[in-house]
Amino acid sequence: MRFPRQLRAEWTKFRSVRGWVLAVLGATLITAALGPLDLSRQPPPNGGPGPAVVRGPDGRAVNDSFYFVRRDLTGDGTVTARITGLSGIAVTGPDRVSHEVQGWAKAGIIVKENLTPGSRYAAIMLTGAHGVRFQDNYIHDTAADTISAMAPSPSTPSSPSSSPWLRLTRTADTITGDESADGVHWQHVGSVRIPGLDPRVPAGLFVTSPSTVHVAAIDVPETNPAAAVGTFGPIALTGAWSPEPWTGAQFGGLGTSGSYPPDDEGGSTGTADTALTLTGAGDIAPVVGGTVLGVGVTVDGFVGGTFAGLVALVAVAALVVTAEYRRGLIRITLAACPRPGCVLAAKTTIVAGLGFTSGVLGATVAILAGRHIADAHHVYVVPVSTPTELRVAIGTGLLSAAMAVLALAVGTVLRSGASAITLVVVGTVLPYLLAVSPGLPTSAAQWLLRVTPAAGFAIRQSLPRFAQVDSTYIPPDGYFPLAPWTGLAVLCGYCVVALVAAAFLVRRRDA
Amino acid sequence: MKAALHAEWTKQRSVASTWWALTATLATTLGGAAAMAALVHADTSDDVARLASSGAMVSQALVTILGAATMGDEYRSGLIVATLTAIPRRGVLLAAKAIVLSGAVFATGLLASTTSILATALISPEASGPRLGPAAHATLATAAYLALIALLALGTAAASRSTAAATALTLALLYLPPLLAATVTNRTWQIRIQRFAPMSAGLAPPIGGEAGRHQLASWSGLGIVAAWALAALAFGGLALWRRDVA
Repeated sequence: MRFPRQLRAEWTKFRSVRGWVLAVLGATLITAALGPLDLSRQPPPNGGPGPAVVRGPDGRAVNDSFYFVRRDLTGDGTVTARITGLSGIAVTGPDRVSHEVQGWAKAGIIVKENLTPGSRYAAIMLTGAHGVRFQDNYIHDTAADTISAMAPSPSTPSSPSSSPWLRLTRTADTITGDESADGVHWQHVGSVRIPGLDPRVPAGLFVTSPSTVHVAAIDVPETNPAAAVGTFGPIALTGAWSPEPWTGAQFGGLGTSGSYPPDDEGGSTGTADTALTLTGAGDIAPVVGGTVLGVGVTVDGFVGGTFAGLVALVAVAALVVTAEYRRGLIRITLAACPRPGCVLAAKTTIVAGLGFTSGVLGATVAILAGRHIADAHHVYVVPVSTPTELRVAIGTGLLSAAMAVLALAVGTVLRSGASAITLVVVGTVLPYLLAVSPGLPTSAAQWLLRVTPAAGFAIRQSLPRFAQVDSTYIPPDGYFPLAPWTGLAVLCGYCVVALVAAAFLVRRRDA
Repeated sequence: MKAALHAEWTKQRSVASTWWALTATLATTLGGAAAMAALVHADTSDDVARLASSGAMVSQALVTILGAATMGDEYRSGLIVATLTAIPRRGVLLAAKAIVLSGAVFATGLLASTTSILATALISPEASGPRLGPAAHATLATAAYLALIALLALGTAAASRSTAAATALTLALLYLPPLLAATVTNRTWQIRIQRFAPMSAGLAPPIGGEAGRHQLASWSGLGIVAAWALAALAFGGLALWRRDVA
């Protein structure tokens, strides 16, 4: 029964110091208010509302834009076509045009659920540098494991291995993609079931290309418009098709990562019976952060005030123990509860609880208010799934709790409030600051966010990275080198080491 | 005043933590600059001078503790009663503390930034050695910056009467605005924060991202840091003058 009593004693000590209570309340308030406040100062975008939000089937933001030549498939059926060429056009500077195809430029066959952007789909395609892929529902990407999957070099797009035959088969609500090097021997690439697929679905050929992503020597990334040109051999259809002829149009605007070079636009030439050439730009993929995102804010932008709140929390957590040493109260505390480990555990529980409550409360209010204000000001918010949003809110709480525990443990070891606060602030906030400010090379920035306690801030990143989308994925854009929970684990590792040292010293030392 | 200065100097030099803090300031300024020079490619001799001041991003935290402890520790130990009995004029006391503290920090800062420039020049051999003009500018500016941050912490401690609280407040003032500037989406506010926050005003960025930031810390930027320090000292002085001792 010693621990609950000690817990109560520590709680009483905390709540009876007005400055501490005010500091924790202030930390919560500043976490909640700073991010949304920044949004409310945002001038209304001059071009009206930002890009339309397209949500994929699982609620995340997606790009769904490509040049689409389609007919309606009214039952089961197949589309077979040979890709005879895939080239690119990119404007890489004033008067400089490159004919290099983008790595994730795509040309192939697609079946979509319906003509609403963001609807479910399955497609088989040849990519600029990643071979033949079967992709479905934006996030799933399967590589073909045959000879034509070996990345053809972008400069020789017409070499035999990069002119595969592709076939997409629809059987009820299952769509299967196959590829072949000779049009005779077929190899399965991937298949997906799209439950509840309507009998009548749009199907056909597509070409799309994301903009260029280029990281220059001094880590200033730039992006330039790019389009892809795909040439298809004769197109063979089997199964039930509606009698209307082929129609071609740009599907779904341009999204966040596509744009046509100034003198180009989407289009198609030729006929389906002989050969068809499509020019397209855009992407069919999840939205990622970084240069390719352009305007728009993310959920982790709403909780930007966390840092300010953390400094206050760190100060209170360090003082919870160092003030006892300063005033000599520690002697009375240890006389009342002679087991120093028990005192330390009670104090840890109190500051962790305070940190967690303050962080979760602040982040939840910040996200809700941020969403509201962004709507009112027509600011484009990248939609994320509810679990991600929950992770950002709860993660902010865990982050605050871990920082508070770290400050408490360091304070116990050093027995000086000022030194403990300085060590924790300089050890966490400064590496993060250095990593996100321009100037430091990306590799150095990423190491700082791997090995210092600042790795814990990774828990707030809201946009995942995808192998099938090229972007910069660097710390200033909100991409951490570690996964969210791994980053938090690094911070917790520091907490454990500091706590063990504190527990050891508090037993060994005289009060 | 002379007696007050003498007393404050004796107090400062007879405490081991002063020497620890000053040694650590020297070490972190030098170490930070050397690490930065090893990581960041310096093209010109001006880059060398600017990289040399990047160690101050870390050592300003140590200077903050020293400044805050100069006032805060008197309250902690109760020495403030004896001090004010000996020097009843509180303005004189604060001025004496400010002079002794800033003198010690400035001298350490000069030594630290001079060695930092030499170190960065050695580490970045591609750039021709530092020219005298920018080198002298960077050395003086860094030393002055550190001294002003110490005064800022001293003023905050006089107002809060607690070393820990003053340290936390000063560190928040130093490190948070640049973070805010990095996350704020509004360009006008971003520029305002960078211009008026003490760290971004007084310390040159380690390396400029945009062309406009390719410059040494300006004297007007140091003026802004001085304004922060003066405001803190004035506030602390007022609190000291109005309040009962402990």
